[in-house]
Amino acid sequence: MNEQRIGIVTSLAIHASFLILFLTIPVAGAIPYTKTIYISFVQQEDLYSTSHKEMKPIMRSKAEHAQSINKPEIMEIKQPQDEFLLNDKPVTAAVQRAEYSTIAKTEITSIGKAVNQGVAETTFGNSGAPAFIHREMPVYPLLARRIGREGKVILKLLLDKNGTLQDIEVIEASGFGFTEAAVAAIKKSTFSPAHSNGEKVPSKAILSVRFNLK
Amino acid sequence: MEYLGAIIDYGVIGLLIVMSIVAVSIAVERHLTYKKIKIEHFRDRKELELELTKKLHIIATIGSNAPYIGLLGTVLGIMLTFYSIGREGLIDTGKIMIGLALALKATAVGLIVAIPSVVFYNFLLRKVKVIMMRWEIINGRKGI
Repeated sequence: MNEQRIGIVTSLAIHASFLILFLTIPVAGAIPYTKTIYISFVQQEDLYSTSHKEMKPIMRSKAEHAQSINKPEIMEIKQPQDEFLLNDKPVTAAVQRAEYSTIAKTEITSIGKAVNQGVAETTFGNSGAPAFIHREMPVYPLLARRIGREGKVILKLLLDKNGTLQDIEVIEASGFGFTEAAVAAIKKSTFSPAHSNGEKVPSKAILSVRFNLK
Repeated sequence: MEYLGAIIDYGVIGLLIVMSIVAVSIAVERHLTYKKIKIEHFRDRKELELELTKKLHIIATIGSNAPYIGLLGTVLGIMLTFYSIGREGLIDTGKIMIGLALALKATAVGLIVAIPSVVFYNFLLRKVKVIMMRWEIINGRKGI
């Protein structure tokens, strides 16, 4: 019986040491992952081409025209605690960069409204469209970051006339937890409502979230 | 479907780890028993053989079945991957490959468990034979 006890203890010790050895191998360090993360909120002109095909050329020209006037704003957020978790080496703090463009496209807003009576259908960045009051940055999914995946998620947010988030509809999903990260960030964000002729109106707004590694 | 993935991952790999712990503990116990055993106390050959081969079948079973259990985990993992691809209808090669690669780790763990078990089994079998021969040398072949 004594041998049996010794055997069990020895076996457990061997397995525990193997497990500890296995878990302490620095997996994050072994995989070279990029330093800078870009998460961008940009509007997606192509979206309209799928839902309203006949309007495509108008949208394109408007968008191009607007692009030449307005430069996208760029917001940089440092995330040192994220870097600390992922990498032991005290190198180059991860810079999370959000890019979003504020492009005025009043015509599109009015066209979108005609389609859905009562609820203005618009895209983030348009004039009269809802805007962020507090923008919560999405967390770049760990797995995607390690294996260097990028992704794009397109969401449709349903806001009431006070700017409260009612519903999130995923128009274009992406794997590796991008969709979940984007939805979680949107749920934590707050918005100002859409305006039409100076009045607050409920709206459906399309928001494109892009996850890029550079 | 996430819970099924967790069952495959933790269930199969956990079972293999438990099997490995059992196999190693029996191997250590047998090894110590063979070191301490006094062949003069056994008058019958069959009695000695019975004492020596006790529990050895467990190691043999683990050594031969661990790869199959690992393979089962892999097959279930691949099934799950294909199911989720079919349901979501995505054509993302990266996701498919990651699913398949992660499914294969069950087979790897199965082999890691099986190889030492087979080594232990052969090693212990050899020791059993040596002890039996020593008994025969002392007692002649009268016990047979």
